[in-house]
Amino acid sequence: MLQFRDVTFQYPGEAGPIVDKLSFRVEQGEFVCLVGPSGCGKSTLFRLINGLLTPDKGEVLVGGRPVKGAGGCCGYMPQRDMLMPWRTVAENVRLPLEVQGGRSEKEMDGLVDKVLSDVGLKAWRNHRPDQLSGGMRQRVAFARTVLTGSDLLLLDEPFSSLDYLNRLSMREWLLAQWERERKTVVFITHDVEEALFLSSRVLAVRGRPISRLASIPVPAPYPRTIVGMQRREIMAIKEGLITMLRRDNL
Amino acid sequence: MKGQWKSNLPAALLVLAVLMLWQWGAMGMDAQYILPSPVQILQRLWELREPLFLAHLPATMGVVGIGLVISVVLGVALAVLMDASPVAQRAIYPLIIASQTIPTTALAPLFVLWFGYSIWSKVLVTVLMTFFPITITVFDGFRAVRVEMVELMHTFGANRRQIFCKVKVPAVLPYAFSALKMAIPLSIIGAAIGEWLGAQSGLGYFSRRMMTQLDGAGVFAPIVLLSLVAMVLVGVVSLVERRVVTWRGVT
Repeated sequence: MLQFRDVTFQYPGEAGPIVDKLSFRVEQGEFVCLVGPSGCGKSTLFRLINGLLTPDKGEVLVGGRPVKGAGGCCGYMPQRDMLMPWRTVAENVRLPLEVQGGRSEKEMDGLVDKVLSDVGLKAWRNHRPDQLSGGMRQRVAFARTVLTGSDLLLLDEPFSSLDYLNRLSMREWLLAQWERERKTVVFITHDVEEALFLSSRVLAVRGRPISRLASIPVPAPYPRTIVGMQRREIMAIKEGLITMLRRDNL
Repeated sequence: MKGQWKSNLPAALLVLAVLMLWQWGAMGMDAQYILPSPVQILQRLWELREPLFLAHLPATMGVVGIGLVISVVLGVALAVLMDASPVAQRAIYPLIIASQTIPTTALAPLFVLWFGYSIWSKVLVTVLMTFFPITITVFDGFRAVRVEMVELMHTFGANRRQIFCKVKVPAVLPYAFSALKMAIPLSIIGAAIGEWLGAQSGLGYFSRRMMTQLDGAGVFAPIVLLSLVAMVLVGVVSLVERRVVTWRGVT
């Protein structure tokens, strides 16, 4: 579904590359978490995938095709929800459909209502984003991402602005969404616990520049519960991961 | 509504106190040609109602209207151009800032030489005074548009036109209203100055004529009318704004 082939990228004006000859792949239907300390370049990887940045060398393939410019290859959900305050919930969610064009108002409304009831916010369709709680806003942003129609979803620390309890329930909610649709999800986080809970495989950033991602499978069946993730096996992986991240990034 | 009354009460009391002080001072001085009292000004406003409202107010409003339309079109166009092209921004922005160091009032007699006593000399003063705040405020609005929001639109595959219509226009709208509210009083001042310097009608011209007749209250009456008009217009724009910009905060 997603493949990096010897990708090198350097921001103009920087001393060295931030991504250096990086290769990895993510298979169809996987839920992968990209873990690493803040500022290590995780978001840069996303920007290379969604076409906002172009690699200096190598290529990024989505669904077997190289990414050319921004637009349409994946559903990208930025760190902050970026809901437009002047649009209602429904109008925000249908934004990708409007941009794509070619659908009637009725078709768009149908798709919006479907995805809003999937995320449990159909009753809120005509509210403004500022009337919603943080968790609800993230669900709206997620619904908007789903309506890009893309099979690859890139979620950039979507829950980092939520409080702890909200974050826990949003994780469970997100897994339930994923299990229903089985889209390919790449999820950025700096929270190892979150990564282990969500993903079938963790990709850990090793050092700077990013030249290698350690791939760590998480041997736990879905659906997952918070208690289930307290098993000794998982805890051992967690400790190993933390040790590795600290050694690589100090 | 009740809370609004309460919060405006201190200002109302202060205005009342100043007016009373003025009235008392003017009565003490008893020199109407220099310092007319507020009551005398209101009386004069009533006596002069016919020429003021039927001849001079429409003339001034014509200048204000034409001047505002030109300023808004010019200001918004410049802001859009500077937003669309960094080169245009580097070329235009410093010039606009520098243009504000020119004392428009001092140049106005020149405009009278150019355009005579026609409406256009007054319109030019008005435009020169108002297009600046409109351009700068609207451009600030463009600069405040979140880069991330534009990038998100790019990932949806949006083109420039879609980004402009769906992100920039609504984001800039509150700024545009602020600009308009700032521009209205300025355009009225501009029109009055223009008329003061050379005109055959208009409230500024009328005020000056009263000056030559040493009619203090007659000088003030059209000025009171001008500020009332400015307040009413700003109030109308605020009402429209509240209808259009219904969201809170600018993200």
